[in-house]
Amino acid sequence: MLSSSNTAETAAIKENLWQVRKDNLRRSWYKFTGNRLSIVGLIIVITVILLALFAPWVTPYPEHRGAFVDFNNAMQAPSTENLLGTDAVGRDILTRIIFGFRFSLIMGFVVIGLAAPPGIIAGLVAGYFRDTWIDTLIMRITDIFLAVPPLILAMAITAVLPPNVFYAMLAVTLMWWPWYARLVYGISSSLQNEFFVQAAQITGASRAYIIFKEILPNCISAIFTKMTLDLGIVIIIASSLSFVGLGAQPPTPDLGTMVADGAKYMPDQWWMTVCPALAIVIIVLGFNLLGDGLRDMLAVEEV
Amino acid sequence: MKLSTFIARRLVLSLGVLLGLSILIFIIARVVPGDPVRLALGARAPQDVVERVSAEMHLDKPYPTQYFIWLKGVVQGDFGTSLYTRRNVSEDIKAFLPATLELALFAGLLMTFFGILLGVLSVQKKNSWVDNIVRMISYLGVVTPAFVFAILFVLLFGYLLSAFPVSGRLAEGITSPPTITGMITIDSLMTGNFKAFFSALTHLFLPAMALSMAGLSQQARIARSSMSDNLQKDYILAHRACGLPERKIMFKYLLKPSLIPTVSILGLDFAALLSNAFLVEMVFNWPGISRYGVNAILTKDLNAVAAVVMILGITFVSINIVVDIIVAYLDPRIRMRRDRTGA
Repeated sequence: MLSSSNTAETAAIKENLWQVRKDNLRRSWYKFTGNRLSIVGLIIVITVILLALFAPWVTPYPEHRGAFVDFNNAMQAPSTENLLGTDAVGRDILTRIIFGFRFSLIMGFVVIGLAAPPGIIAGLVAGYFRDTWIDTLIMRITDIFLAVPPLILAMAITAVLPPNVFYAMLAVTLMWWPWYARLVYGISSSLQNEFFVQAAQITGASRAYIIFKEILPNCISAIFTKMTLDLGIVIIIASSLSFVGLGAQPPTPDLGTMVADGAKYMPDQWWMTVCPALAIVIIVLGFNLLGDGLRDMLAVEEV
Repeated sequence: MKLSTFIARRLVLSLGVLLGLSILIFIIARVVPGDPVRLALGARAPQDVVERVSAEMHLDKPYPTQYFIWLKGVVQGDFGTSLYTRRNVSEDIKAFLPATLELALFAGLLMTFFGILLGVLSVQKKNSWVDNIVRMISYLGVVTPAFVFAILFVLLFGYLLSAFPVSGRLAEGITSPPTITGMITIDSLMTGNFKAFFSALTHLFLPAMALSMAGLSQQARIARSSMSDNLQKDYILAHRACGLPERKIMFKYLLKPSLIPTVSILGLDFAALLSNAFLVEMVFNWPGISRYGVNAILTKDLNAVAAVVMILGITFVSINIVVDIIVAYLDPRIRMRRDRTGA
């Protein structure tokens, strides 16, 4: 008797909770769509991801992605056959751009995926132990990393490693975690005096519980927004590394490498460098608009 | 906190950061590669040559000793000899750095001037087409890599309009002024060589513009938002009520406090200028530190790499100190707050 009314009650609460979540989601979506640019960003990001996922099926000449040579069709201006023209060895530029999206996205997701967790943990720990030697140690180490422009440090790291995509990713990851440490530190150290943290301490919650269950959830929206914005920045840095010749190596279709190769044929074969360059701008623009939309939606101020 | 205490504190913190940076660079350039000499000379170099070069450069000593020898050199401005060309690294850097600094400083001027100008225009004509264009520029500036701007500018202003030269620092046939600072524009002005000055200036303009775009758009964005925030404040309303002319309110009372956020991100913007200079110099064939640095990286010349990173780190940290002091001077509230996040 008692238990059945309990389950009925729980079911009602669950139903109610679900309703609340649905309402929240709808409200967030309303806020997000309030700015048309956010929608543009979302559409760009989804399109680019879909193109990259299905690249072998949607590109006109999938075999042009690698070391393909067709000198008869080299340096063709944009036409109906090659919408964005062909490069110095006759490969379709549109095809290579779409495959290039793949590398840019992988680079972005892998770097952020690897750099964020250690940065977040470092920031949480430093924030929790605010004003102790742990705080000083962690935050001073992040200062050192932040004291050099990220691109330069990444270049220096690639100097001791063989130049390829994997090591370029590693290099960018190694210099990216401090940004997350600083962001999370800012939020978590300001939460130390909040009542819910003190309450958890009084009830005897463990440090790990407080850090991960009480403080971390308050950082999630800022972290999420920063991740979206950072995807664009990491793609810029990765393409810059490739542009200088320290990232992806030919014949890998990479947007930065394509811009650098095409630049040798300016101004007559301008499409060889301008098209991949604009492709970089579009993909970064997408992530940026989306990130800004998220920032407004989640009301994040710190990022 | 008094301003002098603040400066002293800031200097000590920066010294710590630089010391840490030197350890980080030492680990990257000496410890990680294992045997830098073998790396530079290649696998086929005879063992005795490798050993001799190692001994010459103290690379056969334990790491802590090596670090202190290297650090002692760095403090005295001596970065050792190149593993690759066997030339003195400091001499090489002295030859290449001024061109990069000239580019970055000029870009910094363009960035600050046009950034704030666009911000002011945008606030003055809020929600008009001027405002919309400024907002669009500031968006594109953030999402476009510097090398893309460089390439578009070369095509548009260099080839299509033929308005500016796209390569090098001086037109052919113009002799370079004697080296005083190494920055051709300043050297030619100091020696009164106006022909060289104008030639250098036209060569400088496009790369500096391409380099400044990212920071410029950020400056415009921040100037716009901080000015429109301050526009809502009561003191502006009071000035208006007293009948002060709009122009005076704008430039005398609104602009000054609104500049604090733009000044405080100048440090970050200069960091972006220095690293993006690497990309822009490639496009414009600018004989600066980037070609030297990229070459050093490709040839695994680790002494040169360490020197380039260290010099850029020192430049960046010093600029940040100056910026922090300016901000602390402009805004006393900053001095009162304990400096938590350091740099």
